[in-house]
Amino acid sequence: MGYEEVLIILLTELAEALLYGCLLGGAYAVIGIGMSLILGVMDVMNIAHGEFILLGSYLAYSLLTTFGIDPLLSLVILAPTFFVLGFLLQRFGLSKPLKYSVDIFVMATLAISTILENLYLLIWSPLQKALVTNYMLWSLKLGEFSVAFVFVLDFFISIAVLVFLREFLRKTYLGMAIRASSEDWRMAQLMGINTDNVRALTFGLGLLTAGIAGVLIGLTYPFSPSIGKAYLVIAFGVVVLGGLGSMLGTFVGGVILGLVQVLTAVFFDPAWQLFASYLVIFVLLALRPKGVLGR
Amino acid sequence: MSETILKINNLSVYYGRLEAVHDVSFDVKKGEIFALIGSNGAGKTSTLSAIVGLVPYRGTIELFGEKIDRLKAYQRITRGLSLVPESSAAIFSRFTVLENLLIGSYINRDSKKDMLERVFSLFPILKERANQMADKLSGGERKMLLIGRALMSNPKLLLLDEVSLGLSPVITEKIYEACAEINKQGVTILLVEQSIWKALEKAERACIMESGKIVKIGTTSELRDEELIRKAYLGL
Repeated sequence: MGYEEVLIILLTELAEALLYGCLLGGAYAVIGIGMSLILGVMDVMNIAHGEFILLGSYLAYSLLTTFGIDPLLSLVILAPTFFVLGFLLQRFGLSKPLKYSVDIFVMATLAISTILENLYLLIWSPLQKALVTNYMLWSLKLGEFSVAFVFVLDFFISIAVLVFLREFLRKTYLGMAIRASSEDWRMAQLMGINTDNVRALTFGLGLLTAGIAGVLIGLTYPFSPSIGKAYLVIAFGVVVLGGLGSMLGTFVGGVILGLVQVLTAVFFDPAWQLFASYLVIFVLLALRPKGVLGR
Repeated sequence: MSETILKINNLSVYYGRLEAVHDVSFDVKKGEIFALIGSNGAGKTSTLSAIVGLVPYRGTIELFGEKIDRLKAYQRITRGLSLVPESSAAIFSRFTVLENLLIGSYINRDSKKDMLERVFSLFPILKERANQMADKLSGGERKMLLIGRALMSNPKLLLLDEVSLGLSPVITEKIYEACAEINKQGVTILLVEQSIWKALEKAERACIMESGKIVKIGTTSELRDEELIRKAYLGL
């Protein structure tokens, strides 16, 4: 094999890896949005974020296997359900821990995470599940490459969610109330904003995006009760890479993480994926602690 | 006799064991400019913070005849109060100038266009800077933005906390002219000011605070004639 042929193969592999990395980044971004929102506005970490994503996957699974509802269609039911669940949970379950201290809030979400994980074991067993649909095996021709349809779906739904949230936060009074409360909650109160409701609204939106992420990731990868922690780690990576409080940053963080993982798998060894991801996170934080696009 | 719109009865404010305000009582009448005067640490800002519900207190506060002690800060704003904080950092720095004004109309969205026009006629520079980020404004422009933002809720009682602090005399005068105009438009003003000269010049009635207590209260012409005030504060 000549030098030119080797170069062409390498470049083709690189282009394919870059494409898949970007598409995977879209899925990672949607995993991170909810955490970015809650962390950015409420200054607290929801340790149960990964389990809520998993709840999205499991509920879509039950709707699919029990009622035959397509996972994408189930988003119409799940998105508002997750929003209401998040709003009520924050308003009546987590507002007191949050007022008492950030540590207690984090411990309360840790308790929720453990409760949910055990609930998944009891209801859906420890066995792996998957959202099996016709389109999960489809592939799309993008130029020279063919890519799995679900990756493209993840990517575009992720962008749609990010654009929706960005416009909501910028153009509506409720969105401005969320931004004002994240900057200075005392001043926000002086604008007549009920900051307790704003926190609940933010938590509701965070869970809404977790529910969407759960359906998308469930369509892309199989899932089991213990995988929530892995989602939490991805969300954390996306948020710290992209920077808090920026929808574009969340997307960029997802894409960086996706690219690092795919490039490592293709050119080194899949076993080094996590190592490489967290090495990049550490180096980036050491050089730029506020993330790529953080404020 | 003008209607009393704010009545403070035996107000005490504590920060832990420290008593910042001790048993303060006064009232503000409809349409007037009332000044709280005193040096740093006299308890003026703590009194304002108690009125808007940002700090816990003892005593009672009545607004338009209604006791508001059980109301949270955001609920008090809906009753017609608005505060212009002392610090220029109180702007929302990640908002544009226009967004800062719009969030001020959170409880008064229906008339946001009219209120914007009113604010822009008072402070035309804010219209020019409408799409700039608020943290790019100068100190004086930030004060104008804070006043404009407070006006957007269409308050009946405006609390102004040291609006002249850190500003040049020219800008201070401009801001006080705007405040006089706001008062002419029917907004009652409770003014906190360190400069006794400035306060006695701008207000109709005032009370002088020292170490968290009221030492004198009356019309500004009465206070100007007080021997104690002339010696201690005006150096006459």
